[in-house]
Amino acid sequence: MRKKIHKLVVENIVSGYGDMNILKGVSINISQEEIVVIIGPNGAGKSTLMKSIFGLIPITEGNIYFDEEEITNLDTQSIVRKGISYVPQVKNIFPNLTVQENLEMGAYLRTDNYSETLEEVFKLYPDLVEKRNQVAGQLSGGQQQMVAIGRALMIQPEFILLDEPTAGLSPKMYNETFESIQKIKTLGVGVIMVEQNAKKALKISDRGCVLVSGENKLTASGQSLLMNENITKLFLGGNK
Amino acid sequence: MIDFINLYFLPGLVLGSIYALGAMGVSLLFGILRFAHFAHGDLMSFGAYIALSMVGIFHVSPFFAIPASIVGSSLLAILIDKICYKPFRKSQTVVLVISSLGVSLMLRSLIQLTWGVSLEVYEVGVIKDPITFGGNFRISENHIIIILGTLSLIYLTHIFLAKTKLGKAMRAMSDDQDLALITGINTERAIQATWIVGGSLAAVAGVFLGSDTQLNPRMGWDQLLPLFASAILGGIGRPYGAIAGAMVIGIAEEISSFPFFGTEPLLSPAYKTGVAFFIMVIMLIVRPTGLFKGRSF
Repeated sequence: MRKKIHKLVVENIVSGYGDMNILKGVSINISQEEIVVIIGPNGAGKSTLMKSIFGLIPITEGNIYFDEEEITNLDTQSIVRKGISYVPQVKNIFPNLTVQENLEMGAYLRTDNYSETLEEVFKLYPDLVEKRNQVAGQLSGGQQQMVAIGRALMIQPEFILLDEPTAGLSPKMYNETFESIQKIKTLGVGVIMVEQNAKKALKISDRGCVLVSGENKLTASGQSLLMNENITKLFLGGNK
Repeated sequence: MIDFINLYFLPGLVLGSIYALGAMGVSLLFGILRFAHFAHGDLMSFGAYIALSMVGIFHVSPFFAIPASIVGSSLLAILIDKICYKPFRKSQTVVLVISSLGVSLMLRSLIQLTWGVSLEVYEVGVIKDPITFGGNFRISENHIIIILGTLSLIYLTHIFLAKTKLGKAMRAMSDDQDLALITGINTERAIQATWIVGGSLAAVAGVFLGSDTQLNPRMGWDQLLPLFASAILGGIGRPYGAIAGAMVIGIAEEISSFPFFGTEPLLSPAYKTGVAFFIMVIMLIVRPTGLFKGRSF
């Protein structure tokens, strides 16, 4: 049993590349065992938000807290050590390493025995068991996504950031991916994800956050966003 | 036929072994640091000269001096990385390449200052009888040591890359630098390990080369072309490919002067290096990613 429910709080962050601010004051917060979905049009800064939280893009204003501790602009390794892991949208596996080696790399910073976590990941993605000694680059897109998420789980994160985990997957595969994300939540992990399949994602989410040109216009429960007519019209492709 | 094997093929295998040790380092370094390390040949020379000092002081066979060469070249490689390459990690590749060219010049001068400019040999006046087997096949003891030594180092490097955490991290970095960072891999430590592996292999290659021929301050620099030809042939960034590439280049260089037609050598031995160059150019035109699909530019 966990002693404490951790919280990740993002407060009014401004960040971007050079002089160009992509995020112009974004706030979200998430607890463990929650799924928060970020939706918004292309170029709204969804991926930038993920990268900023993870310390890959410098934040010029605003703060990020892990519980009470500030982690704004911390180096990536320290953020991973805190228990946050990140799955980029593309290039998220090591193609020439085997499935097992990819997962082992996810546990790089762990000094304890991670064989139990490895079994947990294989339980979550049973398809990977027989492929464990196969080179990850040869797997199907769906299986590669499993490796990518599995790799991020190996550090036993408190929070996991998923950037469009279902991009380019077949409908069958993205249903499976969504199912696994719900399971990840029950393992006690907080999930922040950017998702194109907004409707499906909002259905499994606890909260949704609408990001438009670098600002979050609206944060509400997934259900109420799905009911909101303006939102459905603008981002979810018309009526349900 | 017997002459072909004794005088051309076996020496080719020996040359290929020496190239393989150097080319693996070049390929590993390219995969992880993303630049062509032009000072690699001079790391070889440095290793060879350290062994020369050991031979001079302790009167041992140069092969027993290999551990000292390994330590020397690895430490030097790490030091060079700290001073000359680390400040440019985020710069364009060309900056690092030029920097390595500068390092190469400095190393050669350092060797000239320390050990002088004349030719040196490990052992004077010792001519051992070659070992004969199967009637007419002959191979010298040195050549056996070089081939077996290379095989065992390839095996050790393979075990390191395939089984250890640090070795796997190096391969992960070679696959995807950004993802390695995101995963929490200590990238600087992996880079250091790469220098140790690359520097050690270069040191041994230098001692082997020195024991097969003689030592001069340009000895490593002169190997640069075949080293890169081997690495490119095997697919740059693929250390195992580099081994295959090195064997092809080494053997091709030696057998190019075999009198295939008539009694004259097919190619004058003076053009040996040209063979490596020729193979490299053909490869870059026909299949720039190399035999084993390395990186393309």
